[in-house]
Amino acid sequence: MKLKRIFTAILAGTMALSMAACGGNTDSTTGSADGEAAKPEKLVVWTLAEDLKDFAAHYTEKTGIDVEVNVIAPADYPTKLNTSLGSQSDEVDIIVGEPQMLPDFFDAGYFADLSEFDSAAQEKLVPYIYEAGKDSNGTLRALSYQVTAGSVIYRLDLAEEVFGTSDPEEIGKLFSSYDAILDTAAKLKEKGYCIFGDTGALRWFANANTPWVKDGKLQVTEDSLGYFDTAVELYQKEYVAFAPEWSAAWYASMAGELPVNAGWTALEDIEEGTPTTQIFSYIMPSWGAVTIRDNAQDNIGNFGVCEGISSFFGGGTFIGVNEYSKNKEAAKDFVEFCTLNEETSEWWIDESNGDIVSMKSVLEANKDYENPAFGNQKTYEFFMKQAENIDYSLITRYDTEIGNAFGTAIVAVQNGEKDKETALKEFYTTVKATYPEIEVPEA
Amino acid sequence: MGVTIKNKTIKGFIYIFLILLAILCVVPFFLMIINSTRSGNEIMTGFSFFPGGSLAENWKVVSENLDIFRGMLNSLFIAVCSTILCSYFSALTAYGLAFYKFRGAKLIFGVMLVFMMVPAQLSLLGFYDLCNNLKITNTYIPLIVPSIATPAVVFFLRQYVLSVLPKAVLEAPRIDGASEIKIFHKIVLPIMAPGIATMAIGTFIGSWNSYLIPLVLLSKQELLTLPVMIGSLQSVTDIASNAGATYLAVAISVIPILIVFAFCSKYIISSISAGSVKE
Repeated sequence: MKLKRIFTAILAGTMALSMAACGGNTDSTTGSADGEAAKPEKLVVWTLAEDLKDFAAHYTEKTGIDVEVNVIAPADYPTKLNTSLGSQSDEVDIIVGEPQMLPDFFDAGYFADLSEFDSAAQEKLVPYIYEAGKDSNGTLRALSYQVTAGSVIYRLDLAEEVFGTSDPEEIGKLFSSYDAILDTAAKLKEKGYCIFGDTGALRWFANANTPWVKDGKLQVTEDSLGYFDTAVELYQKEYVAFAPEWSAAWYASMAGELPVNAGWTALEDIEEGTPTTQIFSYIMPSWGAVTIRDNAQDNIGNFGVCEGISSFFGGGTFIGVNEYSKNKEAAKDFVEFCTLNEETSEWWIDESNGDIVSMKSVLEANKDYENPAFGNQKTYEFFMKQAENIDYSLITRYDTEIGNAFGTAIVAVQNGEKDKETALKEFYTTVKATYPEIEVPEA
Repeated sequence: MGVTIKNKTIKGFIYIFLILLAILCVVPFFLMIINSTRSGNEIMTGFSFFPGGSLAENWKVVSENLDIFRGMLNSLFIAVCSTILCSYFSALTAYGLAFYKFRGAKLIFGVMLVFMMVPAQLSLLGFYDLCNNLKITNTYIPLIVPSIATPAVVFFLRQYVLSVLPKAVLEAPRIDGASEIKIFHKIVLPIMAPGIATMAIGTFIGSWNSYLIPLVLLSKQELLTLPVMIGSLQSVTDIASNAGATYLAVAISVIPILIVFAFCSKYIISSISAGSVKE
C-alpha cells in the first residue's frame, strides 16, 4: 500500500513538473511562430564557431532580416549535416564547412551553386579562398570571410642575440629549407635555446610542393621525407623543448622561459631547479598568431612573423547555401554580405580584434598597419602576401588522415620503437586501409 | 583459532577488493567534480586530487555561452514525459500479452523480441526523413512519442507480471463486474509498480543521456537538450578555456540523475525482490 502511495506521489510530482515545462515550451514556440509570420525571411544558420553570430547580428542591424544562428560542435557537424541534408531538409538556409569537410559536402550536393558570385569572388578575394570554395567541376559553392594563412612566428630578442638580426627577411632564410632549419636549430642550441616546442611544428610543410595524393597515387616526396628526417633529427639531438602544442609548457613559453622536457606535466609539478630554456619559434596559421599574442603577457611586442619553407593555411570557416533551402536568394544575400562586402570585412577586423580577412582590398587598405603585438611589423601586408602564395592545388581531401598517419610514423621512429623503413611501410598500410582507392608505393 | 584468523584474512581480502572497486567507480566522478574547478590549461596538463581555483571563471564561460537551466528543463521535460508514456503503455502491453489469449499473441511477442535487437542508430536516417516530412523536427514530439513503443521494457514487464501476478487475483474483480481496463488500473498496475519503477529509472536515464537523436532533430538553441548543449560548448571558445567549463557543465548535468538515484535506489533494490500476493 505504501508503495502505491509513493508511486502516485512520484507520478503526480512528475506530471506537475511536466505541466510547468510544457507551459514554458508552448510560450516559446508561439513566440517564434509570430516572429516568422511577421518576417517571412528568417534565415537559419548552422555553424561551427561563434563568429557567425556576430555577423548575423550585424546583418540584422543593417537589413532587419532575422538570422538564427545555431552553433554545432565541429565533431558533430558532419553527422548533423549528413542526416538532415541527406533527407533534403529545408530546415537550414546557410551551412558552413571547414576546408577538409568541403569536398565531401560538395560531392553530396548540399551546397548550392554560387556561380553568380564567381567573378566577384575571383576579383575580390584572396585566390586560395576562391579555389577552396569550388567543387571538383569548378563550380563555386562556398566562400570565406577570413584567411588562415600560416607563418613562422619567432622571438625578436632571441633572433638579435643569436643571429644578430631580427629582420623578417633574414630570419625567413633560416627557415627556408630543412637543412637551414637544422642549422638554425644547432645555432640556437649552442646558446641554450630550442627552435620549436615540438617537432610537430614542421607538419605544415609536409606537402610543401607536391600534394599528398596526385592522380590517385600517394606521393612521398623530398618534402615529406625531409619533414620525416628533420623531425627525427631535431628530436634525437634534443633541439626542441619537448613541449607539445597546447601543453601548459608550450603556453608558458610564449611569455618567456620554460622547463626543458616538460611534456604534458603541469607546471607546478615540475621540480625546482629543472634547467629552463626558451622557444625561438612557432609555426602556426594566423589564428595561432592570435593565441600567441593573447598568451605573451610581458613578452608582447617581442614577436615577428616570417615565411617558412612554403606558404600554408589551416582551418577556416567557409559559408554556403543549403541546396534545398526555401530562402535561397535571401541566404545568398547573407553569404554575399559576410564574404564579399568591403564594409563587413573592415568591420570584422575591428570586431574580431585582428582576424585576417579574405578581402584583398581591405587587406590592402590595412597593409600599413603596424601591429604592436608583433614589434610593429606590418602583419596584414605579410599575411596578404602569404595568402596569395598559397597553392590550393596542393590540398587534397585526404590530407588530415594522411598527415596524422605520417605523424604517427615519425613518433615511432623518434621513440626508437621502429626504424624508418618499418615505420614508412606501416604508414603505407594505414593509408591503403583508410583509402582503398589510393595507390601506395610498394615498400 | 586458526579458522577465525583464516576467515579474517579472507574477509580482509574481500574488503580490500571491494574498496578498490568502489574507488574505481567513484574516482571518475570525483575527478570530474575536481576538474570543474580547474582551468583548461591545468586539466590538459595532468590530473590532481585537489580542487583548483577556477570555478568562478568556468562558471562564467558556461553561463555566458549556455542557458544551462533551460537545457536542464528541456531534458527534464522530455525525460519525464517519455518515462511516463513508456511506463504506462509498456505495462499495458505487457499485461495484455501475458494474460489475454488471442490469435497472434505469440507472433507479436516474437516480433517485439526481434525489434529489441535492432539498434536505434540504424534507423536514424529514415527516422529523420519521416520527421522532416511530417514537419516535426525542432519539436519534442519525435523525442517523446516513440517511447510509447519500447520493446525491451515490454519484454521485461511481461516476464515480471507473469511472475508476480497469479491468475486467481484477476478472477475476483471479474466476478464483481469490474471492466477490464479498471482491473488493469486498480489491480494490475499497483502490483506491477515495483517492476515499472525499475524500468522507469532506466528509461529516464536513457532519455536524459540521449545524444544522437536530439542532436540531429533539434537545431534551435532554446530547444536543445542538456547533453547536446554541452557538446556545443566545445565550439564556442578555444579548447584551453572551455575544458574546465565543459567539466563544470557535465558536473551540473549529472545532478538530477544523482537525485533520482539517491531517492529511488531504495525502492529499486527493495522492489526487485518484493512479492505481490502479500499486498
